[in-house]
Amino acid sequence: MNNRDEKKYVKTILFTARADSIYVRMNPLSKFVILLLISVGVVLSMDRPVPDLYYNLGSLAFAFIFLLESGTLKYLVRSYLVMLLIALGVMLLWWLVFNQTGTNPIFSIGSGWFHFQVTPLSIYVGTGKVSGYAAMSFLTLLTVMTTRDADIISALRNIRIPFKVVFFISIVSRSLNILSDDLETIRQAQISRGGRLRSGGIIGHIREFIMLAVPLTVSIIRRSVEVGAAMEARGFGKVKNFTGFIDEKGFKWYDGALLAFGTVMLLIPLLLKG
Amino acid sequence: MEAVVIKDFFWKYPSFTGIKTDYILNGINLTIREGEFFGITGRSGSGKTTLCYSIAGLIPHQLRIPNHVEEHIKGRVEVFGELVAGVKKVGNAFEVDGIGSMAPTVGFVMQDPENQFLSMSMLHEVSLGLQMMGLDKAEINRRITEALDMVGLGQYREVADRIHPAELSGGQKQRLIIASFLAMKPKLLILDEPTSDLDPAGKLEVMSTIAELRKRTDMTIILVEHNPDVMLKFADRIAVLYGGRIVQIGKPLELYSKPELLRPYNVYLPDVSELSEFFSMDGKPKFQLEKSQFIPDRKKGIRADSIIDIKDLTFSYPDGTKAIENLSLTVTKGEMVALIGQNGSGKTTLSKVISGITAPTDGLVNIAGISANKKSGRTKLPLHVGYVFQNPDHQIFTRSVREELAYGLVNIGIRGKEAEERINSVLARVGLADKAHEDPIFLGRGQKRRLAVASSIIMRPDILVVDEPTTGQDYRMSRDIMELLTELNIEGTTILIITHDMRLVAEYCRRVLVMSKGSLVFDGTPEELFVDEEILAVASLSEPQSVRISKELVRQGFLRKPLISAREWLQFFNFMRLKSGFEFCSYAAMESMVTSLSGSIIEAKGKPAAVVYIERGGMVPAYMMLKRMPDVKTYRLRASYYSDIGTASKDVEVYDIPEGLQNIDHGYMLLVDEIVDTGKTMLRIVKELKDRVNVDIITASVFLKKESAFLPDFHSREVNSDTWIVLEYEKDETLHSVGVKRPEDLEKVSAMFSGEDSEYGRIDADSRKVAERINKMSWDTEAIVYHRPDSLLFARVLSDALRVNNVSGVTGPEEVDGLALGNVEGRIVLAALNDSEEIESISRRLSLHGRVELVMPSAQTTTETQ
Amino acid sequence: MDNSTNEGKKPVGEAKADYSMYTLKWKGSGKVSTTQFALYAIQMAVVILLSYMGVLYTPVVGPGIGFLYWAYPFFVVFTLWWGIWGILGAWVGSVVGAGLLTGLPPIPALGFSIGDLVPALLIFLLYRGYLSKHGIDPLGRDILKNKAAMAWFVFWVMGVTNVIGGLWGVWVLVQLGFVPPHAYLLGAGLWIIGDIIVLIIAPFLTAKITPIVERYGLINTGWLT
Repeated sequence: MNNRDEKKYVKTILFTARADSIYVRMNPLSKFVILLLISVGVVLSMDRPVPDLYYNLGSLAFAFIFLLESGTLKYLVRSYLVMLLIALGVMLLWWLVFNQTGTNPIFSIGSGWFHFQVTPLSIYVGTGKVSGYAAMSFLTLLTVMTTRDADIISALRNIRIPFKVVFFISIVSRSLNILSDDLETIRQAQISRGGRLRSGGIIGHIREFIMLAVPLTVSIIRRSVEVGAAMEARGFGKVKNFTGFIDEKGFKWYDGALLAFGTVMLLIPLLLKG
Repeated sequence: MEAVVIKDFFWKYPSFTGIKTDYILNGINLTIREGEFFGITGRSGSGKTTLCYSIAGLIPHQLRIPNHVEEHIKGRVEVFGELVAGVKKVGNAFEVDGIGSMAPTVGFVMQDPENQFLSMSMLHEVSLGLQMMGLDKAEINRRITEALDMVGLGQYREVADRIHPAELSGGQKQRLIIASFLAMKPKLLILDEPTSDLDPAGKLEVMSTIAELRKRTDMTIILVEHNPDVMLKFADRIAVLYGGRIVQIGKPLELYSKPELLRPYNVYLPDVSELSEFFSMDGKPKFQLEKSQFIPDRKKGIRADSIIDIKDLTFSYPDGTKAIENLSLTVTKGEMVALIGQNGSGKTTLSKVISGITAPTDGLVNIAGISANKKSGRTKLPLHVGYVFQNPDHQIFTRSVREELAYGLVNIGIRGKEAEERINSVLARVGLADKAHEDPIFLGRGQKRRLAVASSIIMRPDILVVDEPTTGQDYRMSRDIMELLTELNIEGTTILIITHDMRLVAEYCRRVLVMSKGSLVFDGTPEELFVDEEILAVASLSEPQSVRISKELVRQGFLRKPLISAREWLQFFNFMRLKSGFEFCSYAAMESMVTSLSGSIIEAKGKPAAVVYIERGGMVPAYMMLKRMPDVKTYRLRASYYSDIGTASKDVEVYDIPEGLQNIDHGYMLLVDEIVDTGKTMLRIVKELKDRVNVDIITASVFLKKESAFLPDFHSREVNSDTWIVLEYEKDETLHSVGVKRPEDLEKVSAMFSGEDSEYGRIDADSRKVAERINKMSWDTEAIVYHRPDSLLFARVLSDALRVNNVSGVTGPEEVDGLALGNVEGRIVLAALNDSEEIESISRRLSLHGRVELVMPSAQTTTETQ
Repeated sequence: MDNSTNEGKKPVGEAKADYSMYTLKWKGSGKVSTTQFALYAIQMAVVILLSYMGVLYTPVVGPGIGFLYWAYPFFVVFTLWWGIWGILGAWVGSVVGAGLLTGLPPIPALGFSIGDLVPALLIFLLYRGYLSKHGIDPLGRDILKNKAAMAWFVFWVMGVTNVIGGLWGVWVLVQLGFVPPHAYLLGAGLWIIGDIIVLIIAPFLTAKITPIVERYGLINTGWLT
C-alpha cells in the first residue's frame, strides 16, 4: 500500500473492484438477495422440460453489465473463463448425451440400446440449461468479486446478528487470507524441494496433499493460539457493550431499484408457469 | 505506584501427551515502576515472550491446565495492584487465580502482526478494541485519527475503511497493530519484538513515537527487543533473561559497558561493546589512536562464469500490478550477495523467480544454464537452486528430522546408500546428528532454522537463496547460521541472502543489491552502500554503529576508509598493535624450557609446598613441572578470560581460589603460567592470593612479554610485546584467531604445525581424534572436567580442538561440588585416561550439574552416563 | 505462546489407549475458550480454502460435480477432532469454497452441501458414539494398524456415508435441472468414486497429524469443546 490515490479500486473477496461502482457501493445483503431472487428465477426457468433461453440470456446480460461496470470482468476473464467454459462445455455434453429428446435428428449414431442423436430440441434444451447455469455463475461471481469482507461483516452487524457470531465470521474471512498465503508458501516450499520433479497424476496429487498436512496443521495451531491471544489482548473475553460498526452501509436508491428488478426477474417465470 | 510486581513466579506449559516439560519461567522476581520504559532481552527460548504473556494475563488464563495447577504455576504477577496471574487453594485442590487480561488498561503487541490483524480493513482494525470498550462513535473516530497519526499512517485515514489487510506490508501492519493499542490508551503497553518486520529507519521512528508518547502520558512500557541500539536509546532499565531467570538487570548503558557480563547469555551487543577492549563507554580513553594507512582486508570480487543472468525481467501479478520492472542482473559463481530493500520492493519476488518458484512475466532469466522462462526449465531448477523460506514451519513436511532430509532427495531420485550418506553428513554439518529421529515440529527455533538450511543443501544446489536468515534468532543462532552459509560459500555455493540486518550485510557479504519499487537501485559493495546517503534514504536503511564511528574518523583524518564491521575494527586495532611476526613453540621446546625453568626454581628456592596453575594457560607448564616433582600438591585457579574475538575483558576476575591454599604453612607456593602478556592477570591474582595465604608466592612463566606490567620471579624467554607465540597444543584456537585477525598470515602459521613424531604427537593425535568424534556427535560441549593430573594434557588438547574455555580438573569426587561450572546447559565432557570406580563416582557427582559424557583417548566410542 | 519447546524429551511411557473421554457430551471440556474460538474459525477457513483449491485444480466431470474434492479427507479429520465445528466446516466449506467462490450458484450450493454435512455428522456419531466404546480410536489414528478400524473406515466413511452424500448431492442437482435425470446414477457414481479416491489420504492424515493437535490439548472431547 503505497499511495492512497490507488484506492480507486478496493480489495474484495476475490480480486479488486472499482470503489465507486454501483455493485461495490450496494449493501451486501441486497446483493445476496438479488442473487437469490434471480437464481430462483433461473432455476424455475431451467427446471422445465424446455428451459427459457431468452430469460436466461437476459439474466446473463444483467451480470455482464455489472461485471463491466464494476471493473471486474477482466479478472473473471483472466482467472475463471477457461474453467467456466470447460464446466459449461461438459454440462452441454451431458445434456446432449443423457437427454435424448426431440425429433428430426441433426446427427445420429448407433441403434437399439446404443442410440445417440442430437436434435434441434436437445440442442435448445442443452443451450438453455447451460445459459441458465452460466447466468447464475456469473451473477455469483459478480457478487463475490464486488463484495468486501468488511462490508459483509458490517451488514451482518447491522441486522443485529450477535457480535460473537459476526466476529467468528470475521476471523474466518481474515484466516482465509492468512492461510491462503500460508498454503501458497507451503506449496512453494514443496516446489523448491523438488516436489514437481516427481511423477504427477492422481498418485502425485495424493502425495502432495499428504505432504501439505503437517505444515498446514502446524500453521492452524500456531495461528489459533496467537489469534486467540491477540483477541484477548483487545479485551474480547470481557466485552460488555459492543459499539456498532462505524461505517455501516445503509440502503440506497440503487439497492431498492435492483431489488425491485430482482423481484421482477423472479416473478417472470412464476407468471409464465401460471 | 508500581506498574508490575512479580514475585517468585514459575510457569510450566501444560503437556497433554505425557511428555515432561520444564519450567519456562523459573522464579522471576521483578518490579517495574509506573511510567518506566523497561526493556527485556535474552536468547531465544529464554522465556521473554512467556513473561510478557504472563504480565498480559494470558498465561495461565488462556491455557487449559488439565490437572495439578500448582505444578504449572507458582508465585504471583500483579499489575497496578491487581492480581493478574497466580494460584489459590480451594479445598484440597489448587485453582488458577487472578483476573487475566486487563485490556484496555494493559495493551499487548505481539511479534507476528499477521496474527494480530483481526479485522478486514485498516479502519476496523483500529476501531475493534475501541468498539469492544463500548466507546461512542465520535470518540472512536477521534481516537482512530489520533492513533493513525502517531504511527505515521495518518495519510490513510480517509481511505482506511477501504484498505484491506492484504494490501499492507509487514511493516505497515506492525505500525497498525501498535496504533490499535495506542488508541485504547493503555496504562501499560507490552511490546514483544514489535518492530522485527520494520526496516532499520522505520524501527527507530516507531520506537521514538512510543517513547515520546510515554513521556506525555506517563504510560509504562515493557519492550522485548534484541537490538542494543534501541535499548540504549529508549530503555530506562533492561533485564536479561536466561533459562527463565533474570540474570542481569540494570541501566542499559551500564550493562552494555560490561560485555563480559552479557556475553554468556547470547545477547546482541552494540559494536562498541564487542570492541570494549579498545572503546570505552565511560569516558576514560583506552586506546591511543594514531593516523593510520590501514586498509581492511576485504575479499576481492570473483572473476568467474555467471550463474544468474537476468535481462529486462518484469513480473506482474494477475491483477496487473508490477512487482518487478525491467530488471537486469548478473551474479557470478561463488558470490555471496545480500539483497535488501523495503518490504514490497520486489526482493522476494525476484528470488522466487531465480528459484523457479514463480514464472517471469517478461524478460530473459537464465539460472545455472537453465532458462526459467520455460516451464520445463523451472521444473528442473530445484536441482540447482535451494530456497530457505523465512518461516521454517512452512517447510517442514514430515515428522522426523531424517525423513525431512530424505524428502527432497526422494524427489530428485536419490535413495538408498547415497541418500543415507548425504543425510548423515548434512546432519553432522548442521549439528543435528543427535536429533535425527526427533520430530522437527518440536525442535527449538535455531535448530529448525538449521534444519531448513540442511534440507536445502542436502540437494547440493549451486545457488542457495536464504530469506531473512537471522530474524527472530539470538546472537549465537545468527552467528551459527551465518558461519554455515559462509562455509558453504567458500566451498563454492553461490549465496543470495534477503535481509534487513545491516550488521550481517557488512560482516558477511561482499556485494549488496538494493531494490526499490521493483527496480535495482544499487549494486555494489557494502562500503560503497554505506557512503551513499541517497540510497540509504531511498531504501530506508541505517548504517551500523561501526560505520557511523569510522566515518567520523575518516572525516578527522585518522582512517583512510570507513570500517564496516566489528571484525574490521578488530583487524584495525590488531594492525595498530601487532605489527611483527609469530614465534612457534613446539611441545618439546616448551618441555625443555620448563625443565630448565623448574631446575632453576628448585635450585634457588627448593621444592615448593604447592604448585598453583592458572587454568588454562598454566596447565601444560604445570603438568611438565609435576613430572619432575610428582609429590608436590597442585591446585588450580581461574581468572576471567574471553577469547571469542581475541579481546580480554576490562577487569580481570579471579575465582575458584582453592581453600586448601590457606592451610599451607611452610615453604612457598609456586604460581605458574605459560605467557605473561600484559601482566594484568598475574598482578591481580597475586594481589588476591596475598591476602589469603600464609606463605610466600613465587611466580614463574615460560614466556614474558617485554612491556608486561608484571615481572615474574622466574621466566624462560622474553619476547617482544607484539610477537605472537604460537603454541603447538593450541593449534585450532590459533588458526581460528589468525584467520580472524590476520588472515593474510594464515597460510604461514598453518605451515608451522607440521606433525611431530614424539610422544606428544601421539597424545595430540589421539586427543584430536576424540574431539573429532565429539564434534560428529554434535554435543554442545560447554565444560571439560579432567582427572588430575594424568589426563591434563588430554583435556588441554580437547579444550583447544573443541574450543571450550571452561576447563577444570579434579583429583577426586569430593572436589566436584567445589567446581564453579556455572550454568551448564549443554554437556560436560569428563576427560580421563581410563575408566575406574573413582571416575564413575566423579561422573555421578558431575551429573548433578548437567549432562555428563565420559571420554577416553583409548576408547573407540565414547560412553555416556546420565 | 510457544509451548512446544520440549526438545529431546520422550514420552514417559506409552499409556494404554483409553478412549473413554471422547464422548457425545455437548461440552466435553467446558466453555469455548478464546483460543478455541479462533481455532474453530481458522479450521473452517482451511476447509473453505481446500474446497476452493480442490474445485479449481481438478477436472469437472459433470454439471456441478468436480471429480476430486480434496477438502473431503480434511474435513473428515477435522470432524473427528473438533465435532460440531468440523461438521459445520464441511458444510460451509462446501457452500463457500466449492460453491460461491468458484461461481457455483448459491441455490445448488446450499442444497448439495447437505451431502457433505450429513456424512460428516454420521461419521462423528459413529466414531464418538459407538466405535470409541469398542476399542477403536475415535480419532482414527489406528486405521492403518488395526484391521477392525480399517474395516469400519472402509464401510462407514468410504462406503455408507459417502454413498448417502453422493446420492443426495446429485439428486439435488437433478431436481434443480442441472443434471439430466438419466444421468443420475452416473453422476452419483462419479461423485462417490472421486470421494473414495481422496479419502485414501484420511488415514495417513489422522496417523500423522493427530498427535500434533493432541500435544497442544486442542482436541474436543465432546461436540462443542
